[in-house]
Amino acid sequence: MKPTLFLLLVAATLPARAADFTCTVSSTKGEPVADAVVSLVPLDAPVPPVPADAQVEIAQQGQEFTSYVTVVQAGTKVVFPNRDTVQHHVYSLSKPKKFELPLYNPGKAESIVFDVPGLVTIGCNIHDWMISHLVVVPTPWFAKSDAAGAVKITAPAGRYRLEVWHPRGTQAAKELTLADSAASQETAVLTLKPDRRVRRTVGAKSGGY
Amino acid sequence: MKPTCRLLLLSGLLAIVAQAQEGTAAGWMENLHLTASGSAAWVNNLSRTSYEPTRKDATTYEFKLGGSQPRQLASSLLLVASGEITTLSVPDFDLADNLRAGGRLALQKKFGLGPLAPVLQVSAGTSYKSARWAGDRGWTTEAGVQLAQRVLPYLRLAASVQWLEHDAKSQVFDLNQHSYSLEANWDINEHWSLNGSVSRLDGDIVANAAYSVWWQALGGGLGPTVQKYYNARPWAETGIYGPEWVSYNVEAKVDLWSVTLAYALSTHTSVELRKSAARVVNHIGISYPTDSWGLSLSHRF
Repeated sequence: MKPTLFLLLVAATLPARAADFTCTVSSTKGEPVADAVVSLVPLDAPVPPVPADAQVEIAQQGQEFTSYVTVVQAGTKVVFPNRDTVQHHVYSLSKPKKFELPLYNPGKAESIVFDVPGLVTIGCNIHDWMISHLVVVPTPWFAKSDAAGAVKITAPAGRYRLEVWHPRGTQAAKELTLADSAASQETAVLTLKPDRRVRRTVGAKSGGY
Repeated sequence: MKPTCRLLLLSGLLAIVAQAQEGTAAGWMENLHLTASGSAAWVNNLSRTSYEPTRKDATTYEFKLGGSQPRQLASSLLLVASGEITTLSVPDFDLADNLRAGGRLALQKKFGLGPLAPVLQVSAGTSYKSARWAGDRGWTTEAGVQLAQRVLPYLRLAASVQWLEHDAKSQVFDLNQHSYSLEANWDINEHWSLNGSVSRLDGDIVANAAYSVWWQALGGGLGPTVQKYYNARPWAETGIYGPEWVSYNVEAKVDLWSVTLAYALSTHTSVELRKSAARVVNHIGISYPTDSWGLSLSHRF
């Protein structure tokens, strides 16, 4: 075997070097957008499987879900502990995973594996203002923007589809290439729709529908 | 309402409180929702008087303290037991002051999943009115059915039917009413919301008149229809709205509308500005128009 061909074969079997990808998510008004889900879906390389013990928690506490937006890789187990002193009725009517945990008692913790990518909107049928978005992505390379709208992902070099999602707006997917050991930067500008969540009002709504 | 029915209702409330106490005290307290509100209202024709020159306007102050304990009976069936104490103060006419304390049970059934599913509520309550004017003291019993639905996450519509009976010491203050109402609540944004309601009430109301006017009515000075009807209705000299004023009971139809603009200062506190008006017409066509502006502050603990 010629030395050049041998070196090429060795290089192909070695894992690609990691590259840092940063993204800033802002609104059309220039304000930073928190809780935006940014994911990199590999276009050429196979997607690594989700670890068998992968587990994420979305708790119910203070009659709210502890996280408004959660992102997981498809195949991840999500635990729903009830840390309230009241019962909840957790459900989703979303296509990727329709489920119902009726009369969910304090102290209980049911879990569900989310294996189909997509958006799963979770609610409580007793407390209508309780809502949580679970974004199931087909990749282990994802992150959620912080208060400054900043996201940092470290992924192997290669071609990716960049997807940005937020409960109030999305950006069309676009392709990008991460180069070996080189930092890559993107900016996502979202047109945000008004926040139309059911409001938790003062008084009567504290105890029922 | 018969005292036995009232007793049953109160027993039901006590049973729920007792059952709730079987759990931990901390859990019970955490599920007890306490609210307090204070409001001031500027009322035109508070005296509900037909003869315009003698109508009495006044400012009223109300303070309300309430508590409720929800209990999920099944996945879509909720029982809410609540209690409330309300004081109404009218500094210009202190005989109109009163204190009311009572309890209520509401059973809510939700048809389906999600915030847009319709909710049917059946409720019953009883309260004791301790009025400054002794003749108005007595038990009030209420029952109602409401169907509500959010047509959008921020727009909720409700239709309800209610029945009320007040069994007072003096039959002048006895009431038997039923009403139908439609209500819309629009959460404009995170802080502002707008509520509008229209209702029609049929039943007894208490109106007031200066004795000179009342004597004219009884004597036939306002025509035979008025004379015949007013002589057949209970009345008493009460002096609630001035010396020698009388209160009298008539059957009436009331068309009421109200608009409330609320601003949420936090998830626990809100301020409300309310405008309401009522077109009150009694059985023989005499009207008692009233309207008011109100400002209130509510807090959930």
